[in-house]
Amino acid sequence: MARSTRSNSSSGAPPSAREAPPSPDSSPARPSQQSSDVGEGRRPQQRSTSNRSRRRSRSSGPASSGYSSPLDLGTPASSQFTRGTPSYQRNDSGIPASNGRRPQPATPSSYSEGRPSSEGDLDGAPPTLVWGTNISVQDVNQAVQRFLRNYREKSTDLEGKYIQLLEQVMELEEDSLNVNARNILEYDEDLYVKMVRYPLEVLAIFDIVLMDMAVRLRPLWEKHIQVRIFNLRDTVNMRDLNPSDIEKMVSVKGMIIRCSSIIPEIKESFFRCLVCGYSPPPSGVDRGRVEEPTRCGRPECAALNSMALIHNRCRFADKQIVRLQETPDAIPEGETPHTVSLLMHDRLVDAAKPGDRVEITGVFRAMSMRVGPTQRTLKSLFKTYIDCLHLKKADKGRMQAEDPLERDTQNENYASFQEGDSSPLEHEEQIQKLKELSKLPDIYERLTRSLAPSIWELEDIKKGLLCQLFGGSGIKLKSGASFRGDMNVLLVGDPGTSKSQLLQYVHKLAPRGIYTSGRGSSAVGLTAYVTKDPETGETVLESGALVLSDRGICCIDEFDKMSENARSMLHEVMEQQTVSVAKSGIIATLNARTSVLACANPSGSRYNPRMSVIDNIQLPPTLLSRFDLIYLVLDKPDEQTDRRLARHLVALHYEDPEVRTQQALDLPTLTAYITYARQHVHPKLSDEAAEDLISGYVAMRRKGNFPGSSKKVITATPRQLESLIRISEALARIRYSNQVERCDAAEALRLLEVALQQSATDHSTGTIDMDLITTGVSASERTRRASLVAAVRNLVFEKMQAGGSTMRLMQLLEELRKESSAELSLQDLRTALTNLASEGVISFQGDGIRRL
Amino acid sequence: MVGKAYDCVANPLGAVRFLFDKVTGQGPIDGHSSDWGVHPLFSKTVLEDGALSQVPEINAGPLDTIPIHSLVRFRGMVQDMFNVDYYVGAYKDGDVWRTTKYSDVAVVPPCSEANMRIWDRRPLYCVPVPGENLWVKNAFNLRDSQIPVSPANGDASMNQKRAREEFRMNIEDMDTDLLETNEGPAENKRSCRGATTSNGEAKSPSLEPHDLNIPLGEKNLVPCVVKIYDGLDADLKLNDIVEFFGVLTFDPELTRHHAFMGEILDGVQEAFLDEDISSQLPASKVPRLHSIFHRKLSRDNLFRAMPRNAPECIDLDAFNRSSFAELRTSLVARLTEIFGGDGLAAEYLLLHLLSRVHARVEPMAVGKLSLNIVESSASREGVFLPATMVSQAIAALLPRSHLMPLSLEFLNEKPIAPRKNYSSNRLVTGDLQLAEGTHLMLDETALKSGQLTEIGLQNVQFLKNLMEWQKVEYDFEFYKMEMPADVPVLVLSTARSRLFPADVVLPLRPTLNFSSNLSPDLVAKWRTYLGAARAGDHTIDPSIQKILEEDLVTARQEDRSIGPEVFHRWLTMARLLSVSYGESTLSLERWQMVRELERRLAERLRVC
Repeated sequence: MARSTRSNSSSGAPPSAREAPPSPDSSPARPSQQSSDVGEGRRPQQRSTSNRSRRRSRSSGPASSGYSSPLDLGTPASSQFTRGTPSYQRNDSGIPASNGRRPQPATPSSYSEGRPSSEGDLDGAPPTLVWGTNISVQDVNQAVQRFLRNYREKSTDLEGKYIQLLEQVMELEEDSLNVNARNILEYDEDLYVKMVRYPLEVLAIFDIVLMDMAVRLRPLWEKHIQVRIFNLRDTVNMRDLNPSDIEKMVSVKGMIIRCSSIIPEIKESFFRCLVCGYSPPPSGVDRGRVEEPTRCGRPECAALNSMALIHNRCRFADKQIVRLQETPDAIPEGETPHTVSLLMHDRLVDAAKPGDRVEITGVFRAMSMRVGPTQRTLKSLFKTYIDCLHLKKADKGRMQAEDPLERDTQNENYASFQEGDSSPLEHEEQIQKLKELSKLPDIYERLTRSLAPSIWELEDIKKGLLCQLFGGSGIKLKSGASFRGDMNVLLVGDPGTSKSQLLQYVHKLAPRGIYTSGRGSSAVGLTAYVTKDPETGETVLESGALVLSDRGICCIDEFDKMSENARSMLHEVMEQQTVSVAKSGIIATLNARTSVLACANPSGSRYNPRMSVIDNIQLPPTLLSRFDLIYLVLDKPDEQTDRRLARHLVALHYEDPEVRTQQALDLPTLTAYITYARQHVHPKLSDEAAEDLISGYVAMRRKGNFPGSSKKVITATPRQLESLIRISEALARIRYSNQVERCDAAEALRLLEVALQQSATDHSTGTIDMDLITTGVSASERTRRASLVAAVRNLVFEKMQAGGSTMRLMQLLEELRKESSAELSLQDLRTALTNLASEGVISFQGDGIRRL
Repeated sequence: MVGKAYDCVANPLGAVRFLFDKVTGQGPIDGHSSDWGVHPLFSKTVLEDGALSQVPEINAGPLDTIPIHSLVRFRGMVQDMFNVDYYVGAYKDGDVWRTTKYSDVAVVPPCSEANMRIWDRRPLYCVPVPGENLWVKNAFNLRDSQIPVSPANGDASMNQKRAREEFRMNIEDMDTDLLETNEGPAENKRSCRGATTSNGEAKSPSLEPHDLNIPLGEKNLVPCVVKIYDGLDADLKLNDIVEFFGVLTFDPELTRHHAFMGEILDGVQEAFLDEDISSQLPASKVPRLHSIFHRKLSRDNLFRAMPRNAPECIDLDAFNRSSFAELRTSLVARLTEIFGGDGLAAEYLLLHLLSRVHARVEPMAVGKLSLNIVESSASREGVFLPATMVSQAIAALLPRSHLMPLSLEFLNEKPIAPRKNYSSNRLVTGDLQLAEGTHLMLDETALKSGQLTEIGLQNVQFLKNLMEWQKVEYDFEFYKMEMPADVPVLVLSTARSRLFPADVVLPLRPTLNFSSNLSPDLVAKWRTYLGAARAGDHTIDPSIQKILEEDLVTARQEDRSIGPEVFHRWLTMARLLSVSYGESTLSLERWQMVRELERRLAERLRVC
C-alpha cells in the first residue's frame, strides 16, 4: 500500500466504505489472498504466487480482486498485509514491486483490516517504499536477488550456495528453503538489518524472488517454495523481549512445554444443496466466518435453507499454539522461568514435542482484542506471541545417559526442519568450547578437581568416580550377548571419610540417579513402609527406594546394611543389567542398565589393619567381583592431612569462598562435558593399549597366586580385565579421544591398583600396611614420595654393590639429608625403602639394607 | 515544587496524572515508559514524611474498608512470577495524552498506533508471608492512633487464631458483598459496576482455596497480584519478602471480558486466553496492586522497617555489648525453663535460632545448624515436651516460623515442594516454599507406623535435602530447579532421627516441669536481640585461626571419629556463639565455650 493510502488511514478516520466492520478476530484471521488453485488456468507464475501467499498469507492477490473474490483466511501473520496491497503481479512484466507496508506495532488489528488500496495508488508511483520508512522495495528486491544468486560460501565455489540449495529443494520437491541469516549478514549487512527490522515485508520479497528464480530454473515449476530464515546473529533471551521487539524478527531458545491440539482452520468451504444436490464452487472464508448460502444457487431449485456444509470437501489448514519456556540454564537464580507462546503453521505443526529444546526464529507479535464483536474499543492488554518461521531442535543439554546404541532415530519431522545447508551449526559454540576444554593437557586433573570441590583430598577416588560418570562403551554383539559399558564402584571405608558426600555429589551430577540407603531397601517397588523400632523408638524407613534407575547411576549408601535378599537382586543388575520380578506367576525381566555406586563401612565399623581386606569388607566375593573399582577409603592418622583439612575448613567458614574454587569447571559445564562425551565419543582400544592391559592383567593375576593366600586377597578374575577395558575407555572419553591409548591403559591399571591399596597389601597375609596407604594422599605428596624413591634408588645404586654389605638405615638417612635440602623424616625413608623392596631392588629387614 | 495539587495517599492516580501532564505538556512522549518523578515523590512522602501509617495495609483489616484507587501497602512473599503484560500505556484522547499506568483500564478508545504507546509491566503473584508470626503483623499494622497491642505472650497462637477467625468472617462478608458495597472515590469505577454483578462474577470460574495458593493453610488472608513497572522488579526474586506500595485497583470488567469473549473467539484466540492468568483469578478474591515503589524486607532491615511506635522497633545501634550479654542471659534462662531446666538444650537452641546460611560452597551450605531434640521416653515417666510448646516459644521470638507435624497423612497428602502446573501455567506452592529465615520445626513424634506412598517418600526426600543442603527442588515437569533456601530446621523426635539426620543431636534431660510462660516485658527486646544477632557480621583473627587449626588437628589425632562434619559444626557454633554475644570477631574464650558445650553434649550422648 502506498503512502498516500496509509496517511489517509493513520488519521484515525474510519476507513473507506469498503472496509468491512471490524471484528474481534480480525487480527489473526485476515482475509488476505485469493484462493487460486481450483480450475483457474492461470499462468504458472501467478499461480505459484498465490500458493505462496496462502501459505504464509503474507501478501495478496491481484489488487483488482475485490471483496467479491473468494478469500482465503490468513494466518495471523497475514494481519499486517492488507488484502488489496498492490503486488508484483500487477507489474509482473517489470520489476516485481511488492509493496511493503510498515507493520503497525501498536494496533495490529485496528489498522490492518483489509483495506483495499485505492485503484490509482500504484500506477506511475515513484519507487515504492516500505511504509513509514525510506526503504525502497525495489532496492530490497535487488539486494535479495543479489544475495540469493551470488552468495558463495567459499569464493572458489562455482555456483552460488543458494542456487545449489534451491536446485536440491526442487529436486526433492520440498516446500521450503532454509536460509542462514549469518550468510545474509556476511553478504549484505544492510539487508540483514532490514530483514530483522521489517521481517514481513522483506520475507515477502524473498519469497517472490525465490519464485522468480525457481521459474527461471524450471519454467513449469508451480509449487511454492518458502524461505525459512534461521541462525540470527543474536538470540534474544526470552525475558528480554520487550515492546520494542514487536514486529521484529527474533530468535529465542527454550523448551517446549505444551502443544495445543491441532486447530484446523477452514480455508475453503464447500456446500451442497440437500434438495437437489447442487454445489456451488468452493468459496473462501471471510475473517474466520463462513457464510452459509441461504438459498440454493441453482435457479431451478432455489430451495431455501437447504445448503449444508460438506466437511470432507472443505479445505483446512493446520495451526497450533505451542508454549515455549526458558531452559534452566537461562534462568537467573531465584526466578521462575518465563514462557512465550508460539504460533505454528502447516508444516511446523507437531514438529516438536513437549520436552524438546528448540531454537526458533520468528516474528514477535502483539495481538489486541476487541471488547465485543460490535464495539470499536480495544482492550488495553495485548497478547504477545511469536509467529514461528523456523524451528531447530537442539541437543538435550543435560546428561540423559542416553545409550548411543539406541538413540532415537531422527523422526521425519525433525529431518524436514534440519538446516538446508549442511554447515555444522548445532550448538557449535558450546561444543567448540567443550572440545577446547578437552584439549587441555590437564583436563583429567581439572575434571577431578571439579568433582565435589568441597571434599578434600581423595583424588584417586574422585578419578574413579569420574570414570564411572563417563562410562565405558557398551557393546552389543549380533548374537545378542552384550557387554555393559556401565561401571560399578564400591567405596569401603572408615566413618567420617566423606563417602556419603561423594555419593550425594555423584547423585546430583547424574539426574537419572537414585540415592538410597541400603538399610531396609528392597529392590523393587515404589512405596516404603515406616516402622518404629519398639526398643529404641527409632523410626526406620523400609523403603523400596531401590527402584533401579535405568540408564542412570544408583547410589546406595550403607551397602553393608542391605538385606541379603535385596543384595542378591543386585547380582543380576550389575552383570546382566536386568531385574527379574516374579509376581503372580509371571516373571518379568526389566531393563536396568544402571551403574551402581555403593558405599559401605568395614565389618567392624572401623577398618581393622590386622585383618585381611576381604575380612574387613565382609561382602560375598561374588558380589565384590562385580564391582569394577573397589576403593578402600582408609582414614590414616596423618597430621599433615589433618592440618590441611583443618585449614581448609576454617577457610571455608571464614573466607570468601570464591577464591578457592578456581580452575574447576562449574556444575553445568561439567554436566555438559560428560553428556557430550557419553553421546558422541565412543573410543576403541588401540592394539598397544590392549597389549598393555593384557600384560597388566596377567601380572595382577600372578600376584593373587601366592600359595595359600587365595582366600585373603581379592584375586583378579576375567571380570577385572573387563573392568580395565571399561576404565581405559572411560579415560579416553575424558579426553574426547576415539582411541584408547597406552596412557589410558596405564592409568586404568594404576587406578585399579590404587583402589585396592594393592601396593600396600602384603599378599601373603592379605593385610594392609597402613603406612603405605596412598588414598587420601594428594598428587603433590605422591610425586614427592616418588622422587624420594628415585633418590634412594640412585643412592643405593651408587653406594652399594649387589649382594654387598648391608647399610644401616640411619646411615642412609644421613646421606640423603646431605644431598637434598628438603625435609626428610625417617618414616618417609622407610616408605621409600619398602617400595624399593617390593620392586626387588633391595632387601630391607629391620635396620639393615642390602642391595640384591 | 508544587503546592498540594494532589493527595498521594487518597488519590495517588491523581498525583500520577499531575506529574504525567507536566511531562507531556513539555513535549511528545517517547516510546518507553518513564518515571515522570513518580517514584521519588511517593517514596519520599511515605517513608520520609511519615505518611506510612496512613497507608492502609491489605490483610490488616477487611478489604472492603479500603477505598479502590487509593494508596495501599501489601507485605508479602513473591510466590510466582507471571509473564510480562503488554498494555497500552498511553494514548491520545483528542489532543490530550492520557496514561493508564498504575491502573487497570480495560478499554481504550480506538486510535492509531501513532497515538498509542505500548509499555510493559510485570505481574507478580504475592502471598501473605508464610509463617509470619502475629507480633510482626501487629507491629506493621500499627497506626498512629492506635496504642500498641500488648506483645504476644505464651499463648500467641490463641491470639492468632482469634484474630484470624474474625478476619475470615470479614473476608467472607467481603466476598459476597464486595461488589455491592465498594464505593471508592474514582469515578470510572461506577461505569464498570453495572455490568459486573450480572456478568463478571457469575461467569468467573469458582475457585477452590488451593487455587489461590495460600501457603501453610492460612486460608484467611488474601493474596495479591502486584504489577511492577519500569523494570523495578529486577531486584526481586522468588520467595523474597517485599513490602509493596501502590494503587489498589479493582476492575471486574477485565474478568468479564474473558467470559464474554469466549463465545465468539476462534480456536486460536481461545488457546491464548486459556493461558491468561488473570482470568483465573477473580478480582474479588485476589486484589490487584499496581506497585509504585517497594522495599525488600530482609533480616537486616525488618526491624528498621517497622513503624516507629512498634515495641520491637528499637534502635539497633543502641545495642551495645553489655546489653547483648544481658539479653542473652535472660533469654537462655527463659529457654532453660521451657526445657524443664536443661541449660545445655537452651544454649543449643539459641545457637540454632541464630543460624543462617552465610555462604555456599557447592554443594554445601555453610552456616546452617540443624538441631534434633531427642526426648527419649526413658528420660522421664510419660511426660513429654509438647511440640506446640516449643513452637509457640519460637513463634514468639522469631518473625516467621512453622510447625510441621510429620504424620503419615500429611506426608502422603501432597508434595510439599512447589511444582509447576502447566495447564494453569502457575506454580503450585508447597509447604516448603518459605522465605529465608523462616524457622521450620518438624514433629517426628507424630509419625506412626504405616505405609508411605510415593509422594510421602518424595516429601521425606525434600525435607532431607532441605536439612542437608538447604535447597528445595522445584518441579518444572521437564526439569527440576533447585532453589536455595535458608530455613533452620528443628526436629523433635523420641529417638535420634534416622530420617532426618541433623547437625546436632541433643538428648533432652529435663529436671523440672516444662513451662511455657514468656515474660511479656522482655519478649520484644529478645526479638530485637535475635534479629540483631542474626544479622551480625563475623570474622576471624589470623592468630586465632592458627590456634583453631591446631586445636582441630589435636582433637582429630586424639579421637579418630571426629570427622570433617564435626569440624564444620564446631566452626559454625563458634561463629554463632560469638554473634550471640554481639561480638564480631571470634575470641579464644568463645572457642573454648564451644568445646565445652560439645564436651557436655558428647558425654550426654555416651550415656544414652
